Order: sequence, then structure tokens, then C-alpha cells
Amino acid sequence: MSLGAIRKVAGAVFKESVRDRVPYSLVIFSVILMAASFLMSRLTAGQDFKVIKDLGLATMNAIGLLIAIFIGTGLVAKEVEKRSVYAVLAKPISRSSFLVGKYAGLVVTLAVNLAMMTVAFYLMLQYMAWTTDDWIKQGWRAPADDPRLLLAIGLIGVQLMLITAVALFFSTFSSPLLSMLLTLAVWVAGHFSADLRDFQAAVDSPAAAAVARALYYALPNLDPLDVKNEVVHGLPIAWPAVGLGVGSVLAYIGVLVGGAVLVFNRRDFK
Amino acid sequence: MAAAIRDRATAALVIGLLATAIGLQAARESLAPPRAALVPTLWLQSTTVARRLALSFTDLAADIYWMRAVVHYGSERRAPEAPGRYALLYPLLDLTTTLDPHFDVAARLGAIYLSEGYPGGPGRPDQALALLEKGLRNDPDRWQYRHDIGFVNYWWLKDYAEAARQFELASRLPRAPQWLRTMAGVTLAKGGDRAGARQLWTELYTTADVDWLREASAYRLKQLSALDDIDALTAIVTAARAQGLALDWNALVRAGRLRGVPVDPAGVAYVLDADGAVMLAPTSPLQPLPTFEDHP
Repeated sequence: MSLGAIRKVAGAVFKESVRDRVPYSLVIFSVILMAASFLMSRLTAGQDFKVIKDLGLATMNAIGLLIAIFIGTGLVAKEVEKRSVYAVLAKPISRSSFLVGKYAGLVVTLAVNLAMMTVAFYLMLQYMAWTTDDWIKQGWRAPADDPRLLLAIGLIGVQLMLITAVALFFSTFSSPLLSMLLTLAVWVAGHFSADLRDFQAAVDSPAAAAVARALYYALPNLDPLDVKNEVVHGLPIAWPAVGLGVGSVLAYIGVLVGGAVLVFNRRDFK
Repeated sequence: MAAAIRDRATAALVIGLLATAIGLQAARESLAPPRAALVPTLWLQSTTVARRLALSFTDLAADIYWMRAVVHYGSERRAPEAPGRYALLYPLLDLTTTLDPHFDVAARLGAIYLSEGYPGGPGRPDQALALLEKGLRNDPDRWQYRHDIGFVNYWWLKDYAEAARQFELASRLPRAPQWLRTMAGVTLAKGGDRAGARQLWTELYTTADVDWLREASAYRLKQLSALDDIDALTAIVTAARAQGLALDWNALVRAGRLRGVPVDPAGVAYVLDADGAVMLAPTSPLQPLPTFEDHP
């Protein structure tokens, strides 16, 4: 694997995503936030600040998820479909560099998008703080410029990195549509982990419970990375759990990208 | 050139079709207006299922249910008398606080909505208490929940001993204000008293951090002021009657007993009936006034 090759492939992916108008998501995000802020004030009984925070974080998560799934699943499959993979692999570039570069390129795209949405989000919150009476602001459980929002956004980024890795892994051996469905399934399963852990409470079969328990540890758990509620309400964050959650997700990313490289290396493109 | 003309023609066609679609929609609307739903429906009733389905968007789902609860309460307040009025209020608030267990305003304001007497609300202090106790289970250190439980017991259930106990428990929680301990004592000593009620609403008004709560407190304080006014005016009328003056505001003004026709804190003139009883005008937004066990 060559770092220079990875950088070149990543740069190409980033440029392609810009050409595919991915940054337009920022426009969508800003419009959603601004429209919501005007519409919400009458409907939320004074909770518009909380709703805007929830909406902003949820929209970043959803837009990022859509980009990760739709672009991630096409990263390799599109190249194979268009047969452009032959031209790329004919160059002095290893398959692993190609794949890791593809992954890094999409992660950079997502990071740039998240960063731009974060700036728009903070601007929106500052505007709200500026136009709100001081006595109402006293009731806010976290300020408009709360730096902990960055933590919640950063953890959304880590989740998106995982989903991108899952999408990349599936895209190395299945069609884009199937990859999308499988990636979505992993994301959903990542939020159902607690049910797998407590499966023995729902079934009498010890074998089924053991399988569910094994799956609980085998599948990535995304819940510990979701601190949106704690941040919005100004509640303490369980740092050790978050740290371990991030560590395990990073390890999963390694497994998935490594697995994708293994599968891709064995594929016959003749 | 030809391509440009073709593009313009296409754009004109698109705009024309859009205008036609909107016109047809408006015509259909006026010909056959859609029937209003007779009973508002809550498709998702299970809080557990709602939490599962929301995946990582539980906070946003809670906000949506909260807005539905606010709109439901507001529209039902304005709606004419009908069976099942406010029926969805508690389920909506229950869903909101399950999806976001730390959404304290949903529980606290929701409790005010729920306990408000019919027809201004469903008149269900029992559901209000259930919602607040759920909030307390999620955030056991939030003194505001204990305060509100005491408040519902005080104002709606007239259980002053329980109200005092809750204020006392609230005063022991972290960051609880000093006045809660005083409130517990005042409630025990003067439960049902107008002065005690005034103190309670004043504290609620000064500590409110949302518009609606502040407005509700201001409204109750105006009602208490109206009760004070009525007492003072009744004393003037009684004295005037003993001196044989006519029972009429203008006569009392001419006699120098009043500076002008008295108006309630909402700006509506008080009514003086033929028997000398002073009361709020039926049109006053402060109707109906609360009752107390002992008038000062």
C-alpha cells in the first residue's frame, strides 16, 4: 500500500463528490433549519431552541447517512460496472491502496460536509440566541455556543465512518442495491443491540439467546455514540462508555476495510 | 436559436401546467371540501414501539409528538363541545416523554395542560401527576418535578398536606431554591388560603423560563387580584348601601366613593347587581374565578 496512491484516489473521490453536487446537502440543511426556526416558534410552546438543536443534529446524521450509504455502496460497484476499474488497476496502484483511497476520499467528503453544516448550525443557534430574551435564555439547559455540540457532531462523524466502511465492504462483492439494503440493515441493527443482549428475556430457548448474545458482541453497537440527548439537555456524558464505544467502532472499521481489501484482492476482473 | 425557443416553450408549458394543477386543486376544494376527521387519530400508541422505530432520531420524534400535543391542546381548547375532547393529550405527552425522557418542559407544561379544569383542559390532575412522577423517575434530582407535584396537589386536588410534603421533599433536592422550604411551611399553615396561593403563583411566575408558564402564572395572579378587588368593592358597596346610596357604579363615582367604573385586571368592568353583589362580567377572560376555603 502506498500513501501517495491512497491520497490520489481519495482526492479523486472527493472531487467526484463535489462534481456530483454532494455539498448541495449543505443548502438543504440550511433551508431546513431556517424554515424550521420560523415555523416552530408557534408550535413548540417555547421549546424552539431545543427543537432546532434536535433537528440540526438529526439532519446532519440523516444527510450524512444518506451520503455514506448512497455513495459508499457505489464506490467500487460503479467502477466495476463502468469497467473503469480495469484502467485504474492497470496503473501502478495496488488494489488495497485503491480501496483504502476510496474509503478515505468519502470520509473526507463526509467530514467537509459535516464541518460546513456545523458552521451553519452554530450560526443559526447564535442568531436564535441573539433574538431571544435574556429571561428565556436562563431556562436553556445548554447555551447556544455549547462546545459539547461538537462532541455530538464528532460522534455522528464516527458513526458515518463506520457506515461508510460497511457500505464499502458490501460494495466489493454485491450489487449497489443489495449493498444499500445490507448497509441499512447494519445501521438499524446497530441501534437494536440492547434487544439482542436481552433476548433471553423474550425467548425460552437458551441456544437462541446464546446466538443473540453472540450477535450482540459481534455487531457494532451505535447507541453509545449517540450523545445527542445528553448534549441538548446539558446532562453529563458517560465518557468511559463513549471512549470504549469509539474504540470498538474504530476497530470494526479496521475489520471492514481489511475485509473489503481481502475480498477485492481475490476478485477476478479478467 | 431553435433550441432556446424550444427551452422557453417547455418552461412556459411547465409553468402553465403548474398553474392548471393549482387551479384545478382550488376548484376541487371549493366543490367538494375534504371532510374533517371526526376523531383525531394517534396511529402509534405504544411508547416502546415508538422508541424502537425512531432508531437514533428519538429526540426529533419526541419534538414532533410534543408539537402535536401543543397543537392538539390548542385546537381542542377552541373546539366546540364534543365527546372525546382532549382524548389524545395524555397519550401524546406520554409518547413525548418516553422518546425523550429528559424533556422536562413536556412533562411540566403537559401537567399544566392536563390538570386544567374542563373545558379549558381535560381536568385530569391524576394524569398530570402520572406524567410528573414519570419525569421524576427519569431525573430524580430535578426539584422542579417535586414542586409541580406539590403544586397539582395544592391547586387542583386541594390536598394541602401532600402538597406541603412534596414542597418539603423538593427543598431537599440539589439546587432547590430556599423559598421551597418556606412554601412547605406556608402550605401546611395556610393551605387553601389566598395569600398562600399568591405566593405559590408568584414564585412560579418569577422562576418560569418559558412563555406559556409565565403567562399562565400571570393569569392566575390576575384572578387573585380580581378576588381582592371584589372584596374591597364589596366593602365599599356595603357601606354605601347602609347610607342609602343607589347601587350603581356611576352613582358611587358621583358620590366620590370610587374614582371611576372599576375594571378587573383584564380591563373588563366589574358587574354590580341589584342585590349589591360585585362580580366579574360574564365576558371577562378571568372567568371562572377560583374558590378558597377561607376568604381574608
